[in-house]
Order: sequence, then C-alpha cells, then structure tokens
Amino acid sequence: MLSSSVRRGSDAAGFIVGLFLGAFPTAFAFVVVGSLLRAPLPVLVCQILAGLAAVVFLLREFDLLKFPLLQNARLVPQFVALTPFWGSVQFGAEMGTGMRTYSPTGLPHIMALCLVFLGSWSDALLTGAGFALGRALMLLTFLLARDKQSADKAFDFTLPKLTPLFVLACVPLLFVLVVLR
Amino acid sequence: MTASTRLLVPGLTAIVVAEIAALWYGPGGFIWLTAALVAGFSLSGSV
Repeated sequence: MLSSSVRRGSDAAGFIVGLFLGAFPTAFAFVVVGSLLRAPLPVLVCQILAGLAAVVFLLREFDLLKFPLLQNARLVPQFVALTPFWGSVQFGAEMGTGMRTYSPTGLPHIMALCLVFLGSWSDALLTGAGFALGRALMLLTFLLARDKQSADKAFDFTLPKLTPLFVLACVPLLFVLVVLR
Repeated sequence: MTASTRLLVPGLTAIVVAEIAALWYGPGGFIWLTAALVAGFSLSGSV
C-alpha cells in the first residue's frame, strides 16, 4: 500500500504537500480548457451539459449504465517514494493529479466535468483543495491507526463496499452545484 | 463493527460534517470543496 512508504512524519508531510501541488494545477487546467469550450455557450447550456454528465456518471455508479472510465490506470512506481521527502512530494503530486491511479469510481470525473462546464478560478482552487484533502484523509487514517494491517484491510476491502454511500453523498452536493448555483 | 471498519470512522465523520455544513451554507465554494473531498476520499482504496 502506498502509505507504507510515506508513514514517516516528514514523508507524510511531503506526501500531503505533493497532493496539493498535484491537485491545484489539474483543477486549474480543467478550468482553462472549460473556459475555451464554454465561451460560445450560454450558462444554461453549460448547466445542462454538466448536469447530464453528472447523471450519466451517477447512473454508472449504480450499475444502471456500463462503460469504462477514462483513466490512466497506472500506479506511481514505488521507487519514487524511496527518496526521502522529495520522493514523497512527487508521489503525492502524481496522486494529487488523479491521473496516475486506478479509479474505482467516476466521482472525480464528475468533478472534472463540472469544473470544465461551470468552474471559476476560485472554484478550481477549492476543488483542488478538497480533492487533495480527500486523498490526504487516507494517509491521516493510516497514521492514526495502531494496527496498520487493519488499516490496509479497511481500504482494500471495506471502503469499496461504501462506494454507494459516497455516491449518495455526492447527489445533493451536485444538485446544489449544478442546479442551484 | 469490525476493527477495519472502525478505522474509517474518522474519515467518514469528516465527510458527513463537511457535507452537512456545505448543504447548510448553500451554493458557493464550500460545495465545490466538499464534493471534491468526497471524490478524493472515494479513491482511497486505489493507489
């Protein structure tokens, strides 16, 4: 598990710094691309497109639609984390982009598409921070856990079972984000 | 509740608290932050 290589204090800090370094530019990149795409479109059309994208991915999460997720599906090489501190920063940055990992859910894709169609610069800043914090929660959980094996088991086996809860948690947030904005 | 499930409680609690606060506050930046927080944490099983 990734955390095994970043459990030391300074490495954990580097990893979390890296998460933010990776997440912010990625979120800003989505806004840059989106600014070009939505320039000729009225806001209502952008809302409809974002809403449709969210609905399609949410239906996929509930197994009502089946299509493969666009993802890199490559792990960050473990040797990256062998370099003290800066290796962890690089590891975190690559994970913070969300581009170099296996994605078990389409929730990050929904956020990316919402940024493309609706996001402002400040929204990108907060989305990047939220994504990095969400990923940092995993490492913080490991650091708090006395039994690291149980922690591994929790993320490998228990968390995937909770995916429907995450999807349900996202539904009202997306409604506010897209419809009531 | 198994030991491994108990370990997830702090993270899940953070998400629930953020979600309630974001919905209470209404449209704005906090909604983006919380939705991204949930999306980020949902990837925790993968590296």
